[in-house]
Amino acid sequence: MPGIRRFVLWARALVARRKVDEELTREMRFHLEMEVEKNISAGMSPDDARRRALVDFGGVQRFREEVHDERRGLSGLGLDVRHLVRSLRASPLFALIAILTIALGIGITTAVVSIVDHVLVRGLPFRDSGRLVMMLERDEGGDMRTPSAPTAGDWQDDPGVARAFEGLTFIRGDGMRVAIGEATETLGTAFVAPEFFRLIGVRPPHGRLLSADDHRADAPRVAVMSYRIWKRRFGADPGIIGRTISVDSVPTTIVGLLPPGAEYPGFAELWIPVAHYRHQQVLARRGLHADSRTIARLRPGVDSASAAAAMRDIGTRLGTEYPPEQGGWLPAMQPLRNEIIGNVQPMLLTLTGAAIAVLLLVCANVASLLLARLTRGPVSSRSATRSAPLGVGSSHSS
Amino acid sequence: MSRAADVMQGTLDLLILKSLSLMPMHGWGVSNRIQQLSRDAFQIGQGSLYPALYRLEKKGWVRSDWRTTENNREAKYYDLTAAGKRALGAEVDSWRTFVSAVEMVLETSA
Repeated sequence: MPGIRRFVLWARALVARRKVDEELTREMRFHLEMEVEKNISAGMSPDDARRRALVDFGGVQRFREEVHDERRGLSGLGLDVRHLVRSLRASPLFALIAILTIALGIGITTAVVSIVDHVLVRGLPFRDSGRLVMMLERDEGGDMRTPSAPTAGDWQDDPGVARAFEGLTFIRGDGMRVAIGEATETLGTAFVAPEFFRLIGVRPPHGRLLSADDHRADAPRVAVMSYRIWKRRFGADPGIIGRTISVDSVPTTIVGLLPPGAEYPGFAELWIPVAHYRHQQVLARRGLHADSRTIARLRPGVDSASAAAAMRDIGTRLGTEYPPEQGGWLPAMQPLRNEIIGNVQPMLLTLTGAAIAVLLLVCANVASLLLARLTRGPVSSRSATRSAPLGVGSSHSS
Repeated sequence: MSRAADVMQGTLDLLILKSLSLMPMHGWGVSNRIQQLSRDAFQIGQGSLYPALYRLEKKGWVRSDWRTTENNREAKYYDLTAAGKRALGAEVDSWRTFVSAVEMVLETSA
């Protein structure tokens, strides 16, 4: 039985090791006694004799450990690890301090890096969210505004835009009175164009998203609901799919849910086809359009600078075609992430740098503590000078 | 009084082998004998002695066993093996060659 055999070998090695250890102890003790006797017969007091004899004892402990290790066939890294474990076991307080210090450094760095990873690297729960941008307009004075629906439409049709972007879409926001049980609440609602869900790239955990048919003006009224409102106000009822609720006095069927954290725009709890928006005349106006968003997805390999350059032509053209509303306004953009969490990137990167610096400091600290211990060494340094003349050297090299 | 002299590791092996060739001895005895024979020039501490003995034993040039001393104490005695005797001869030869080479250089320098 292989298990028993291994156990026997291990037990035997343990016994052998102890035997070797004992033998070395006896040999050293004998040597020490002989040395003390010699010193006494040379005229020293017993105390001096013993002290003198012990001075020579320096490299012996190390030698004993090395003998053990060589007999167990360790060398190189294994040897160093065993030395480390032994010396740490000899001074548990130091070991505890060192381990706690390193743990602190690692803990801080891990916490910061996981935040940064979550916010900057992973970002929003949309497909390739780093390429989603919010489209804005900016005038010569540096003021920003959200573009109107007609402007977004013109942008969509422009070939220069198509070169830089996979898609571009307009969203109208409004508050809708929704009956929930006995009460009526105003819920933020996003009126979206047909390409919206495909553009952001998201999959519903339950039900489905809006389809092309849903966007027909005469289609039955449907909506997609946010995960959070479903949990908070609809009790996470699994029967929500297919249920009809009153939205702005219009019976609307809920066809699906968005995944948690996927609410864009941030205020929205319902997504409804823009074709069913009651106030269509608002959507026809040019110029400033509050309560709206225009978002786009950059093509792979295109960055916001080149995208903005690609849009300059259409921007200037609209400015000349509609001077009062569009004159002087050029397209600009921001990563979608910034709208949601603000421009935290510099702050988070600084935080990461600081955390890494802390970790480096911690490691340097522990390293110097270890060095201090090593150079202090066992017994005294006088033993080193005594045994040096006849070439002690570490038996690592041999 | 002790005087420190710089000697290399190989030379220590040579001294130990020579010392053991006269008579099997325990570790302390070897170091004591070398000290006497060299008129106190060489004082070998445990830190150098026992690693060297261990090395020689691993090479198969000495063997060890536990015996009782005259004072009825237990000590580990070392003895030269046949290979050790041959090695001693070789080491002495290479030492003498080394020394005469150094002498040759020293004599010719102006």
